[in-house]
Amino acid sequence: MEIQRIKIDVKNKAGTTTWNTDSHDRAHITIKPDICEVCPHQLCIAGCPTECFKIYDDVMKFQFEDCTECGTCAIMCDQDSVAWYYPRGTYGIQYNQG
Amino acid sequence: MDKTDVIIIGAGPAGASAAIKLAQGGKKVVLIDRGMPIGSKNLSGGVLWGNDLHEIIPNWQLEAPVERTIVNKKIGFLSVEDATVLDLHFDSWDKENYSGVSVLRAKFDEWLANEAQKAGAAVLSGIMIDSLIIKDGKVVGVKQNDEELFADTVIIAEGSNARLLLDHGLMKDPSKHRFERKEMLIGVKEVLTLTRDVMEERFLLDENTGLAGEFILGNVPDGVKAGGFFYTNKDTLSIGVVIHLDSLNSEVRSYEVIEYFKQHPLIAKYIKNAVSVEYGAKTVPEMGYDNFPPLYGDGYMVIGDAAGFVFSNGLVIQGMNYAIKSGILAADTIIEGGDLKNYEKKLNNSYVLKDFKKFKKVKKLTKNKRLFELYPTGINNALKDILTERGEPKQSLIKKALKAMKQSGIGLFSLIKDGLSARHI
Ligand SMILES: Cc1cc2nc3c(=O)[nH]c(=O)nc-3n(C[C@H](O)[C@H](O)[C@H](O)COP(=O)(O)OP(=O)(O)OC[C@H]3O[C@@H](n4cnc5c(N)ncnc54)[C@H](O)[C@@H]3O)c2cc1C
Ligand code: SF4
Ligand code: SF4
Repeated sequence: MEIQRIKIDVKNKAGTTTWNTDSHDRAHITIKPDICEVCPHQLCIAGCPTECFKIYDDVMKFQFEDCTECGTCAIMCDQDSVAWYYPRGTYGIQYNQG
Repeated sequence: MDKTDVIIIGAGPAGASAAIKLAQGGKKVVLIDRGMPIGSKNLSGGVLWGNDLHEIIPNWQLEAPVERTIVNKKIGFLSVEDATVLDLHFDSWDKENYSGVSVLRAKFDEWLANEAQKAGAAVLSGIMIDSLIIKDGKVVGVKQNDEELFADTVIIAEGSNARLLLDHGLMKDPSKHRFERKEMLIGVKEVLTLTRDVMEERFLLDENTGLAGEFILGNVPDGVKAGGFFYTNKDTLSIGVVIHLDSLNSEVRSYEVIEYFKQHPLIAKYIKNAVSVEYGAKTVPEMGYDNFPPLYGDGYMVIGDAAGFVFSNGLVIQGMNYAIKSGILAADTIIEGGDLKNYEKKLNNSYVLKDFKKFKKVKKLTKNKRLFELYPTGINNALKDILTERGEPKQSLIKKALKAMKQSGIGLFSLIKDGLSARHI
């Protein structure tokens, strides 16, 4: 039996989770778009659970606000594009359940 | 210069357990976590096997915010349409001291850190340690912005991403600065609300008993290897998937895999009318015994996930028990005043390293493509074939099963080979 492909809007889902977002100039993760442009796989997109990596007009855009701080992109990216840290204390995701 | 006996970085189950034991042993200990409140950064399945907690908090089951005592386990294989589920009802678990309980980590970790404070540890929340202070090869303290704090011993309990170990070259290979895809899994999880009445009726539960379901997902396309879990809490369900990062490809996204699980016909019935209230994700290390970082060094010890102490076999993930145990053993090492190398000796003599040595081969099985791609479908087809009455002459069961397996692409030799490695589970 053929597997039906599932597509969802994960941003919608992430809307149930709470964040204390830091200012833009303190983004805890940054990427180098010029490295991404020649990346052979762009596996960060497949790995990130909240779709923080997206290509607009052929350019990789990274958006840190919905980051779960899981660390997956730093592992998926083997091209040294991702500079990865946790946010400073008290900022970022806030689980009420976990 | 601010100096204490012990600094612990990270207040998950590993760090908080170490702090409690150290404070009980009369040590001056500072427990630091980046979350505020503590627990707000943490997520797991999660079923806690808390045997070792008795040692530091004798009545923990009565005091801790536990959700339900697990008395029903469902172990299943999901194919695209069908499911074969082994349904184990162990009501005797409810009467035992050693049973598993479901927990929600935001609440549980906050409680455990509070116990550390009650025992006499100084607990600092909302502080992210940027780096270790290393003098002449010895770890002597920690740093946040320009502030420094020093200690005789630093315990690294920072969890799975192990940033401090990577940044300071404290992995087995000092030049390693990130984990490989084959060494890590990602867990993607949701918490769904379901009223107590519905939950207890739907899953045959009493007021305090619960169920833990674990499934091999044979219904995700493109060879993605993933397991699915769902656990009952008091009035919520924890549901999620654990995905091998080296099996993800550009066609399937991590956040879609949890939907393949939730939308499977059987699982969809389990979670009918349940509403999602939280979504999150976290990595699970699966580096294996041979790739653990050095577990201690000059001035420091590594405990819990940071050390790689997580067991997974494609179905269950256990890390909290090893986190607690390794925390207690690190604390014992300091209290006894001996050399830090005693910590590794203690680990070797306990179930922690014994388990990881014994289960070295399980990793091979969990990386096995057949486990995820072929067996779930093969098992469902074989059983369906055996159990469907088509008015045809009956073949012997074994013959029939093998035939169905073969049609699903599983040969007799690989069955035997995988059977042999499965005995390590
Ligand atoms: C989806 C999923 C399901 C799981 N299911 C189960 C299960 O059912 N049963 C089970 O036993 N285990 C389960 N696990 C594994 C379990 O969650 C971990 O093994 C366990 O949390 C490890 O505890 P720890 O204390 O070592 O690390 P963590 O719990 O990760 O705690 C680390 C702490 O350190 C803090 N921290 C990190 N870096 C810094 C820093 N630089 N400065 C300050 N603070 C810092 C973090 O905020 C965090 O509080 C699951 C994991 C996942 C992802
Ligand atoms: S994997 Fe790395 S280099 Fe490739 S697109 Fe993603 S962030 Fe860029
Ligand atoms: S840490 Fe996780 S959630 Fe954050 S950007 Fe990376 S993959 Fe996405």
